[in-house]
Amino acid sequence: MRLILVQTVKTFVCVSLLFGLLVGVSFLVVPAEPASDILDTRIAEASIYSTQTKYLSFTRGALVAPRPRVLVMGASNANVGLRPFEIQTDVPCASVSNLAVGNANVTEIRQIVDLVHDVQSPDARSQNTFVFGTWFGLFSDSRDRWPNSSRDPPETDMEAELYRYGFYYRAADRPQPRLSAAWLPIEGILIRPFIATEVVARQLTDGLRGYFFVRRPKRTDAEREAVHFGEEDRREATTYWYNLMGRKDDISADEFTSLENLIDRLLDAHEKVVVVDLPLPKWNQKVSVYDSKYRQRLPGLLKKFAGREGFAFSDLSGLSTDDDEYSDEVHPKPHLAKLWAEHVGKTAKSVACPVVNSALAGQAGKKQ
Amino acid sequence: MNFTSPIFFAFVFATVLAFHLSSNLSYRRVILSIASLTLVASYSTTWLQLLPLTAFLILGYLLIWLVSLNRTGPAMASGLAIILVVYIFLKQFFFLQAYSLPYAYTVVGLSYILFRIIHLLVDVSSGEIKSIPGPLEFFRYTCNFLCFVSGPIQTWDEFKKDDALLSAPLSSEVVFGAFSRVATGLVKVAVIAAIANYLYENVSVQILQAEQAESGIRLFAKYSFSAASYTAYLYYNFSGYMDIVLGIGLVLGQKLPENFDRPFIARSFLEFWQRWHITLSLWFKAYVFTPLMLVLVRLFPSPGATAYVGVFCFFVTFLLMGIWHGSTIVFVIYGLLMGLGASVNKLWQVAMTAVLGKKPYRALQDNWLYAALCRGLTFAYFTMALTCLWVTSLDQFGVLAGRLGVVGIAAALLVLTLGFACLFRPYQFLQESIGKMMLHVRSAPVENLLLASRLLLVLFCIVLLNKTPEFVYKAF
Repeated sequence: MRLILVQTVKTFVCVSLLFGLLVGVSFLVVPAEPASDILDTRIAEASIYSTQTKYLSFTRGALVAPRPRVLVMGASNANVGLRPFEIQTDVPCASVSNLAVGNANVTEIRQIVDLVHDVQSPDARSQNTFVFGTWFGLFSDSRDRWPNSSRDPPETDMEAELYRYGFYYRAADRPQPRLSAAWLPIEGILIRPFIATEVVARQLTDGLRGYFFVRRPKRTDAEREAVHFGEEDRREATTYWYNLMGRKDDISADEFTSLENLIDRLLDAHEKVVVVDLPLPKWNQKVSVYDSKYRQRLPGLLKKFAGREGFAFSDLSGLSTDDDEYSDEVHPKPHLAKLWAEHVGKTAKSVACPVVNSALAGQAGKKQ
Repeated sequence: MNFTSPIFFAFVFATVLAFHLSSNLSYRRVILSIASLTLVASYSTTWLQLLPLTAFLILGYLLIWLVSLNRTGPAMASGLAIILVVYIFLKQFFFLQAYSLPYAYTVVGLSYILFRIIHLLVDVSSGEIKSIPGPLEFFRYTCNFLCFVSGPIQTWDEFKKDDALLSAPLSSEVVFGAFSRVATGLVKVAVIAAIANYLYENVSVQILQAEQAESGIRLFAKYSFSAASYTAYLYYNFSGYMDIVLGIGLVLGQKLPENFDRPFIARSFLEFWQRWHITLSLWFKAYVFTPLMLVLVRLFPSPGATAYVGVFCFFVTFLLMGIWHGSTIVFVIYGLLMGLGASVNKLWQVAMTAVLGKKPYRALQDNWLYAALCRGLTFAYFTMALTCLWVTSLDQFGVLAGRLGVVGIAAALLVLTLGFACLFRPYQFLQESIGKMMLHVRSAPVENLLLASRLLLVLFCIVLLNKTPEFVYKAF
């Protein structure tokens, strides 16, 4: 017995020593990134975190300080279409972050909202304005969205990231942190060896992975502006979404209810909400059964929250007339994204900056 | 209970501590019985799910007892027939799927229990085993928590020897050796096999899913890559699991038999099976090949026929060994491929000896180029036969084979043969260098740091791949 316990202790001490050494080395291999209180998941891939979900997990400490914040939530079209620095110019009172994650559904968005809340005080939370970029893709059932998950209900990409390091555990209603938000910086240090390994491994195997694994090509803004989405691309995209939505002919009612409940919860807690109906190219609206189902349900949601304090709706449907203003089946080209951001910025300002608005109104009154 | 999960290691740690609380032999046997019962129970959520397995054990014990009362050929044959029919029914082989129990139940470990029961039935009947085990002894032998899921298949003699020495004291060398063996096993399962599985899963999906199906040279390249990575996954997963089990056995007073002996250095398919899943091969040799050979040699006593009888016996033995791996029809194809490989290999040996003579053939076998090509061919054939284990249905197997075509299959065999023949030497050199390096490490702190570094490597791989590795052979 004594021999076994002694060997166990020796092994534990050696593992701890080596891990400490690796933490130190990781700071040399991957230097710490400059702190910022604005988050943008679009830069995730270029950051040391590589993925949007990991980026959100470990940078959300930036949202701790209580100050007015506009937080854009949604999927990749909200990420590409609602650029934070462009919205920022219209919302001077708040700092704008974009927390949208590619292919997210409402369940995953709700988890991201919870992650933000986990690091914020009640005071900080009350100054949040959540901007939800909605469209049919948000309403795919998690079982269809993550069909290969071994768990039921399935693990979202966000959850998978949270459970990866053991800092969160799976509870009945949502992923629960094992430690308080105060430990976030320590968690960030502890995961550094893993991050550094991942960065180095990705750099070393980039070419090989490109050959063996199917990946969508990366495009610059100029390339996205110039691209034409042809008939064959449209057919492929339609099939892609048909598969992703679980080959059904309707969007998930549960996911829609989940969005309603989330908005209700936020408004009840005196947080503000802007719902942005993200348009699609006309050809996609025509062929997609999901878009028509989404459009049938959206008015009910808007009616439910119309007039509630802190709620606003932004309709972008009139901003584009040409399908060529989209780089693919959902994403706006940069020039259209700019128009979207300006429009959303104005709406966000009306709910996020009420004090500033009334003060400005007061100043204007004095001038007159 | 997953063999690489923290829960399993907590369970093992608790068992080891409880085991060493007293050196009393009976006490230790009770602890091992409780551990085995706990592990078996962990594979079900209700007691009802364990009922068929329990009934199978009771039936096995009753048959052994009855055979011990009447040690005759017909009694043994009846016992074998009964236990095999029940096994085939419980495992739900493809031709029996219309007749099943009305609820889901656990079959984990059933195959290995069957092997041990057949071993006892035959050897009790022949008088090799004089007295039958007591019920608790029978439970500890058939359901030993270390060997329950996938072996190794201990013989009754080996078990009795270990069981008598359970109270022997440990030395610090044995304890370190056990920790080190478990760490090596974890590296194999959670690092090498996990990376191979990651590659296999990501590439094979591109050739198996109709919507993403590749064609031409890319199909052939991706098939070859998928097949090779699956073989690496299977080997490192299974041999790593064995390292874990054997390592834990060392601190529980059990010297379990080895199941792998560098299988990829084998220069023939038949030699390969003497090095891969050794205890299974030995079991099939003892209870299928040898009895069948004896019967057929009696039927065809001419010396000229013996070699061809051997070819036939190899075919039957390997066919059954292949079919044993699963209950669907794809495993019949796997069995046929295994049988074909073994019998063609035997035929080749017979033909080469006849054509060249014994000495020149032996000299040819020692030629480095011939040996390298034989190694490559053995690897390639086994790797391609394993396709049966990773396609999900006969249809998928047919579609894949059809799309590859004869040219694609031949090209894959050639490339895998030549690829392995070329890569084997560097692989062997690397393995031997690491082995030599480890032999020179004699300082305890360095040894402990190396042990810790292996565990850290495991931790990194589990975190980065974000997946607790499963034990693949559990399904067979």
